[in-house]
Amino acid sequence: MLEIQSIRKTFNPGTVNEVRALQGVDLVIEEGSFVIVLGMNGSGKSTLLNAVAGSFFVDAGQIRVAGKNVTKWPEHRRAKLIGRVFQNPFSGTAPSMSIAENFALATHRGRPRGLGWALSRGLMDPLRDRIAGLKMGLENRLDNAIGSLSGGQRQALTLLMASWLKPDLLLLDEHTAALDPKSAEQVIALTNEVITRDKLTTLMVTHSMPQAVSLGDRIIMMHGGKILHDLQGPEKKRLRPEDLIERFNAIRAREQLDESAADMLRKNYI
Amino acid sequence: MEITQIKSDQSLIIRLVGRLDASWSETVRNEFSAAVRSGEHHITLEMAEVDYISSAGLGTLLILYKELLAIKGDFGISTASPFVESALNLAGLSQFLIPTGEATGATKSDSNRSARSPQATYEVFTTPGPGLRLAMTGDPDILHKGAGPTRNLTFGPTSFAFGIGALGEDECEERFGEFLAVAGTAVFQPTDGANRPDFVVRTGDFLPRGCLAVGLIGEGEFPLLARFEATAESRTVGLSELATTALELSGAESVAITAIVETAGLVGTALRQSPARNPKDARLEFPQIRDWLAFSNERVFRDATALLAGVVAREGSSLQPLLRPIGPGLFGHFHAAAFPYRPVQKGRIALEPSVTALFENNTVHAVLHLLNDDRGFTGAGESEFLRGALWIAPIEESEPSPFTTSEADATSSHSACNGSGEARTARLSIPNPKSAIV
Repeated sequence: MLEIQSIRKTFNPGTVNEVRALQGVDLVIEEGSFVIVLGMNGSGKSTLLNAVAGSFFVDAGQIRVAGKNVTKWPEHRRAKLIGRVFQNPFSGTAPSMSIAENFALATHRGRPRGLGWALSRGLMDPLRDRIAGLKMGLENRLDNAIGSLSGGQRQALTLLMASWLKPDLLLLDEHTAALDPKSAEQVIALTNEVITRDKLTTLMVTHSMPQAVSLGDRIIMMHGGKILHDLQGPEKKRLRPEDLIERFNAIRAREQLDESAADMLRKNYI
Repeated sequence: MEITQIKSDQSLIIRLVGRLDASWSETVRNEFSAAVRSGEHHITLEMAEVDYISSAGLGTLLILYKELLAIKGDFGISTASPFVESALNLAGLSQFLIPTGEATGATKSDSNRSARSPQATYEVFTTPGPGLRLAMTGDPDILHKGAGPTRNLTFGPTSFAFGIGALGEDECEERFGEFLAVAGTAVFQPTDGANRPDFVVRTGDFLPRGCLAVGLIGEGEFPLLARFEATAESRTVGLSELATTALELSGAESVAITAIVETAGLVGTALRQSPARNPKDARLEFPQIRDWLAFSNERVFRDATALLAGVVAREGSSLQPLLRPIGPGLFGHFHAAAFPYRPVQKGRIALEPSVTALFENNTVHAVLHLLNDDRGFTGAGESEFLRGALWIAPIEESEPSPFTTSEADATSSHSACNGSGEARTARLSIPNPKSAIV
């Protein structure tokens, strides 16, 4: 469960580059809910995810994950509760380490490391099974450096790593945006499978309307650092991609309605 | 496969060379759709050099045949290779696809006259008839004052109305939005949070019923039909030019227009909230106006088909409170419902079936109040069209100030709608029957 209470974040306050990225966001995500976050560039989606992950501290408000107030926790401490996949396939993995070594690190995330063998039989067997389940032929390449894999393969592995410990919260930040359509489709199918199977509480940012419509049980639309629409239940079910596009157009049209347009409308509208 | 288009005076010839199989049938179909969109309704296929056709190809030919049949166009195969000919014969399709020679060919036109405006050509058909009576209802200052008492109305096959209104029996005022009703159909843009327009199409005795908070309502026929097509040089023709031509063709000072048009883009706005809700001032002030009107600074619904209802008048019309400038010395008020593209049949077409057909695939994109955004360089300009049909009825000016009669009318039409009146009285009633026949 994730509880966000009126969080605010302003970057470069008091300068010409001041950006009010989050302007009072309130959001409660029930345990096991899969929430899609939509919004135009600069609407605050990624800032919201980064605020939750702890990439920076918020200026005001409170963030609770699984009942714990993590507002003042540093990023690495929150990692115990939160799994995360980034847009860039090169983030989120250690490229010069092997697949197995990356997983060994992932399985110890937030736990004491100790001096035991990292690549124990207890890890390698289930790991081989899970990776075989990807049907990417990677189960025989566990000793290969992860940097030698394609973007799609890396994102699939990162997703497995991020969800391995069944985190209290999974954050996906446009994790298929940099992939070719076929790989994106595979990673999305895997995402849905993992989240549904483990009932993971998930926040996923995407720009793909078809993904937003077909995945998850709730859609949050952000604009100007605020939540503009919160669609769930039957309303989410009857959504079509074109309805979402229409909502985006409406946001844009609203911004374009400036004073000169207002004058024109006053003159011409009845 | 090679696909070549040869344009002749009356028709388009498409020559196919190669194999018409599953991998090519989609491309051929798209080529056809593009041709129909550009206004070609008479298409001939040359298949002398098509050495193979599969069922995918035959299926496509049948779809094309049906598409053109639906808009009373022509589709036929002029030449066929022995293989194609035998395939068509064996499949029993040759009777449809190979023309016998007499019926098809040139468009036969029974137009009474033709006309020309700077950017379009017209074929004009006249039907002697009684014309259209028209009256205003409601207070044009609705956005500031909120909606007053409204009239429950039933829209029959000869009704014509547009303004701010809603469909339904009760709680109309919760949904008041851009509204239009013509030829037994009515469609409006609800403002209760639903963003899909709702509509009723006359089906047997099931007629559209609703309320109009402000607008024009009328009853009657359209004696003139003008089929227009933008000239090849200009490609599109604007609303003001069509409106001017409609006035000139009718010779009247003011006309009502119903139109079905293929659009090159609409410029318009739509209410976002019902004026009956949150009554307060300054709704059209900036920035509150953003909550009240949806407007985008550009043409929308390009390449769609739209249904228009409106009036246009020279200066000094008694309808003036509901009119706004749409061009030099020209005043009008138009509403448009935008539909997914469908070609409009050529020649003389009947109003009601043509309008009803628009609703066939159950989708209306939006209902808009059309505007002339005359802000020069930054403005979006006016709505523009490729071709279509204008039904024109001259209006004899209605009595001034019909608002005063609305109270009494509200009572009488309410009783009719509650079922105590006969079917006849439930039909649209005109506030003042003296107001004009043409």
